[in-house]
This record gives sequence, C-alpha cells and structure tokens, in this order.
Amino acid sequence: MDDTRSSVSDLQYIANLHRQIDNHLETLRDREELAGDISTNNDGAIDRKQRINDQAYFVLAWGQLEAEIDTACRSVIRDGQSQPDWESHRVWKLFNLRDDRLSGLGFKKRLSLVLERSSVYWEQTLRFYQLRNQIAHGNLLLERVDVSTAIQQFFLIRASLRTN
Amino acid sequence: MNGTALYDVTSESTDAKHVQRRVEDWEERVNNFYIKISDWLRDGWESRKGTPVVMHEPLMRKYGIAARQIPTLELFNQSNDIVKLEPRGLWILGNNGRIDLKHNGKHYFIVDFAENFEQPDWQVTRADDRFEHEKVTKEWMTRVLQ
Repeated sequence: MDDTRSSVSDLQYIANLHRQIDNHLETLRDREELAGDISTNNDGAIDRKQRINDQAYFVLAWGQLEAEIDTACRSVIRDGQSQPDWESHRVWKLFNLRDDRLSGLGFKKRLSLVLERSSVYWEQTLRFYQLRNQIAHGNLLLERVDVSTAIQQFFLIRASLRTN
Repeated sequence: MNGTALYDVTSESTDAKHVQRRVEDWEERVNNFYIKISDWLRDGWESRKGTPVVMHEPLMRKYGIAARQIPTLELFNQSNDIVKLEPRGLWILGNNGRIDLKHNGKHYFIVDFAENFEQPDWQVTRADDRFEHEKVTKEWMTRVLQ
C-alpha cells in the first residue's frame, strides 16, 4: 500500500503549501488595510486571489482523496474476486480491475463499496465531490473554502474507508 | 442534521428565507461571542465596538438579501494596545463562520464548527498552524492578551 502512504504525505504537503500562499495573501491584505485600500464588499483583488487559491488546492487535495477511494475500491473488488467459491466471487467478476474506470463504476457507486451510507462522512463526501466537480468543470465558487478543515475531513474520510 | 455552509452552497433547497435566517443568526452569534470575550478580559483590558464590516456574501447577492453591517470588537488597554476582532465570513466552506483576531504579530482564525442554528462551537487556530485547534476559553483569551 505504498500509494496510500504517498497520498497522505501529499495531502499534508498540499495543506502546508496552501497555508503558505494564503498567509502571504493575508500579509498583502494587511498592507492594503494599513494603506486604507482594502475593499469591504468581498470583491477585492486579494479576496479573489484567496478564493481561487482555495479552490485550486481544494481540487488538488480532493484528487488525493479520490485516489484513496479508488485504491480502497480496487482492494474490495480484488478481495471479492479472490473468494474461492463461485457464489461469493461471481458478482465481483463483473468489474475489470485493469480498467481505469472500473467498468464504468461511477463515483457514488465506488464510494458505496468502501463507505457505509449510514456513515457520518457519506453525505459530506458527496457534497465535497459536488464542489470538486463544480470547480473542475469551470464554474468557480464565489465562496471561500476552508482548505485546512476540508483536508482534515479528508483524513477522517480516508480513515473510515473499508478495504475488504 | 441542520447542515453547514457546505450544505447551503451545494443544496437545491437553499432559498432566500434560509439565507436571511442564516445572516440574522450569524449576527446574533457574533454579538454573543463578543459578550463572552468581553466578560473574559483580564485586568487592564476593556472592550468597545469597532467599525462595522459590510457583509454581502455571494449567497446573499444570489438571493437578493440586502448587505448588512456586522459589528467588530476592539480590545484595548492603558498602554494603547489594540486587538481587533473582525468577522471574515459566514459561508466559508468547511466551517460555520470565521472571526479573525490579530495581536502581537499573530493571526488567529476563530471558527464556529457547529452545524447551522446549533449552539456555537467556537474553536481557534493560528494562521501559521491551521491543523491545531483549541476551544475558545477564558484561559485562551488570557494567554493571547499576555
């Protein structure tokens, strides 16, 4: 499971990098405030930079979580396919592990293989996915994203994934 | 489950009435928080109202909710040290509103982690270490003003 360890350190690294850039923008904001030049209507240039920075790093971090979900999903399928009796493995054989898209398995179905729907993270994960899609498909959010908190949640989601 | 800012932004059931209610709730939470902070001040410190900030966030504009003035708070002492608490936003995806505090070169994010319309859960983190949170308490406030 080297991929998993790598993703965790990447998530932490992404969070740190986002923080560094956001803090730099906060410093610029402070300077503008001191100069009496800050916009208070949320349309200011610094606000915009922070919003876009948030979203760039959010999508980057989401990619790490989605890779973890894919890895867990493949593990579950592999486990199912390795069952010796036909009754147990026949359904799992429907999925081709060599296919990048896992035989057309959409995100929600992949998630449902590794996370219980009753989990406190189920709906939250889908909402994060919805945000990711909105951003990645060109419709930038007007709101800020608390990237550090989102990444902390990603760690919790990751920890609750089943792999068998 | 009452949802969060994340739900407000991604849910199809969010409407003007809900957004208006959220804005009113935010102002009330901020005011109550200032009362608590003012009660917790160590000797030598006092509080006063600061210049309000204008709140007109994207969801408010989307649903035609008028801009609103949200109060800020200033803490000051006899040495003329001034600490400002300023609301930075309600709809920050991942939390339920943030108030910033800057003092002695340190920048703190005071964030409510409660769900919508629930008892606030104010926690604080430093801008340079955003993974470490602690509850906002009188002890924390005392430490910050040292």
